[in-house]
Amino acid sequence: MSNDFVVIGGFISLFALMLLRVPIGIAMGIVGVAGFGSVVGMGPALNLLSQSPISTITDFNLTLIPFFVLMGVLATNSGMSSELFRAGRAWLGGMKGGLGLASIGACGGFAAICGSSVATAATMTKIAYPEMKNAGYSDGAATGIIAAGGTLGILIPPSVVLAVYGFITEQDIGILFIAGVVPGLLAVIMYMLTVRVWYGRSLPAGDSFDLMVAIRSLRGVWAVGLLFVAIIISIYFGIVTATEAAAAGALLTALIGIARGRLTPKRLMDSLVEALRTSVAIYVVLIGATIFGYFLAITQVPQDLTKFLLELGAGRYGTLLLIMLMFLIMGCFLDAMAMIILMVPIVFPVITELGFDPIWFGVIIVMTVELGLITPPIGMNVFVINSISPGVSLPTIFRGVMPFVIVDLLRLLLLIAFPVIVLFLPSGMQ
Amino acid sequence: MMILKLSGGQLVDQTIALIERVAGLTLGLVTLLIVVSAIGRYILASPVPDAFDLSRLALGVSIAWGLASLGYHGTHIKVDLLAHSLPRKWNNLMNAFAWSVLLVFSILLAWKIGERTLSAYTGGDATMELRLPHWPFFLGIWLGIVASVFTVAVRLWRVIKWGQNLGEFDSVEDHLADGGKIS
Repeated sequence: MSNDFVVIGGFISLFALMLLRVPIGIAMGIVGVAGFGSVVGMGPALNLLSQSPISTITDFNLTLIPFFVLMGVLATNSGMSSELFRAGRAWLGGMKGGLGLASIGACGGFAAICGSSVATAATMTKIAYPEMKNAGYSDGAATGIIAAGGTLGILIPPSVVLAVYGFITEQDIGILFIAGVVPGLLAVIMYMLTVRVWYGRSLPAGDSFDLMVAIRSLRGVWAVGLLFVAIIISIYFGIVTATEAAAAGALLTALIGIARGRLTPKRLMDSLVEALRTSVAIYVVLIGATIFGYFLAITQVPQDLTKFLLELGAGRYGTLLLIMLMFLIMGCFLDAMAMIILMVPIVFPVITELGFDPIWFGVIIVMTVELGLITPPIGMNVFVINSISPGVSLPTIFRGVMPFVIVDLLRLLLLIAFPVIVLFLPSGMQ
Repeated sequence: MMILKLSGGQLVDQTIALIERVAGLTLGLVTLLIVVSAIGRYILASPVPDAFDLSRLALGVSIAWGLASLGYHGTHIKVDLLAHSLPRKWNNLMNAFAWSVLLVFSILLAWKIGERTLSAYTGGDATMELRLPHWPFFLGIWLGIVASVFTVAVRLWRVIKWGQNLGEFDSVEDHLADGGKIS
C-alpha cells in the first residue's frame, strides 16, 4: 500500500469517525493503530495500546491538568463568579458603560481561575446579562460583551489549553503560562476600550461610586485573587514547578471555600468528581493523539506537509497565515482542545522550520482558536449564550460581538508584528 | 418488569457514582500528596519519599476508573454537529455506531493493558525510592479499563434498546449550566 494512500485514507477515516460521533480521542487512537499497522504490521501497532495509554495517564507532567481543572471547579462552586462581578460593578460601575466594563473585568478574573472560555461565557451570561438588560443595554451589546469576555478564559493563565500545547510540543508549561499574561491583560484592556469607544454613546450612565461599597466588595475575592497572583509569581521566579503550583492552587482554593463556608463536604466531593470527569475527557484525547502521533511519524506527514508548505513560496508570514486560517476553519466544528491536540503536532515542524518561537506560536495559535469561539458561522461562545438566553437571536449576538472580533484581529496582528510583547516576560524568568 | 429495569438501572447508576467518588477522592489525595511533598522539599528539606511515582501512578488509576464513568455517561469529547442536525432515528443509529467503535477500542485496550500489567508483574518494575512494585497500580488501571468495557457495553445496550442519547461533553460548562449540581 502506498504511503500517500495510507495517509489520505487515514485522514478521511479520522474525520468520518469524528463526524459519526465517535469520541475524538478514540477516533484518533483507532486510525493511529490501523494506519501504523498498515505500514509496519498489526502486531507492533497493537503493542502501541499496551504502552501509550499507560505512559500518558501516568505522565507526571500532565498531572497539572486535573489540578487546574479542580481549582476552577472549586472556585466556581464557591460562588466566585458572582462575587467577581459584584466587585467589578462596585469599582467600575460608576463610569459610563460601567456594567459592560465590570463584565469584561469579571470575565477576565473568572477566566484566570477557571481556564475555560465557554464556562466563563456561560456563567457570565447568567450573572451579567440580566443586570445589563435591566440597566438598558441592547441585547447585542450585552451578549457581545459577554461572548468576547468569555474568550479570555483560554489565554489568561492558568490555561489548560496552553498546558496541553506545552505537553505536545515539549515546551515548558510555566514559561507558556507567563507568556500568556501580557496578551491576556492586553485583551482585557482592548475589550474595555471597545466597550467605551464602540458602544460608548449608546450605553447608559453608570451607578454612583461609593468607596466603602467598593472596598467591601473585595471581601469575597481578595483571597483567591491573591492566590492567583501567588501562583503566577511562584512560577515566574521558579519557586515551585507548574504542577506544584497547580496542586497548591487547588488545595488552597478548597481551603478558602471551606473557611468561608461556601464549600460543604458534598460540594467538595462533587467538585472532585466533576474535575475528574473533565480531566478524563481531556486525557482520552491525549491518549488518542499519542497513538495517532506514531502514525504521523511513520508516514512522515509533518515532514511532507512542511516540504509542501515551504515549496508554496508564501513566505514566513504567508505560511503562518495559512496555518492560522486552517485553525479558524476547523474551529467551526472541532472543540478547541481537540483541535490543538490534533493539529499542532502536524504543523509544529513547519513553525520551527520557519524559525518562529515555539512559545510565541503557542500564544498566537491559542488566540486564533479563541477567535474561532466568537467568529461566524459557528462560534461556540455565541451558541452557549444563545442556549442560555434563547430570547436573543444568534444574528443579534454575532452583530454584538463583531467589534470584538475586529479588535481580536488587531491584537493578533500586533503580537505577530511585535513578538516581544509575548516574549519579554518569559525571557526574564529564572 | 419495569421495576426490575429501574432497579437494574439504579444499581448501575449507584455503582458508577461510587466509582466516581473513589476516583475523585484519589484525585484529592494526590493533590494533597504533591502539596505536602512540595512543603517537605522546599521548607523542611525532606520530601515525601516516592511522591513523584506515587502521585502519577495513583492518578493513573483514578483516570482509568474515570474512563468507566465517561463510557457510561457518554460524555467523551466528540463532534456533535451532525448528530444535532439529524432526525432522532438516525441520531440513535449514529450513537450505536459510535459506542460500538468505543467498545471495540476498550476491549483491545483491556487486552493489551492486561499484557502490560503481567509484564510489569514478572519484570519487577518498581518505584525509584521505596522500590514499591508498579504492578498493583497497573492492575488498578487494568481493572478500570475492564470496568469501562462493561460500562460502555451497558450504555450501548441502552442506546440500542431504548434509544437513549449520549451525554454532552461533561465539562465545567455543563456543570455550570446545571447551576453547580452534579447528576
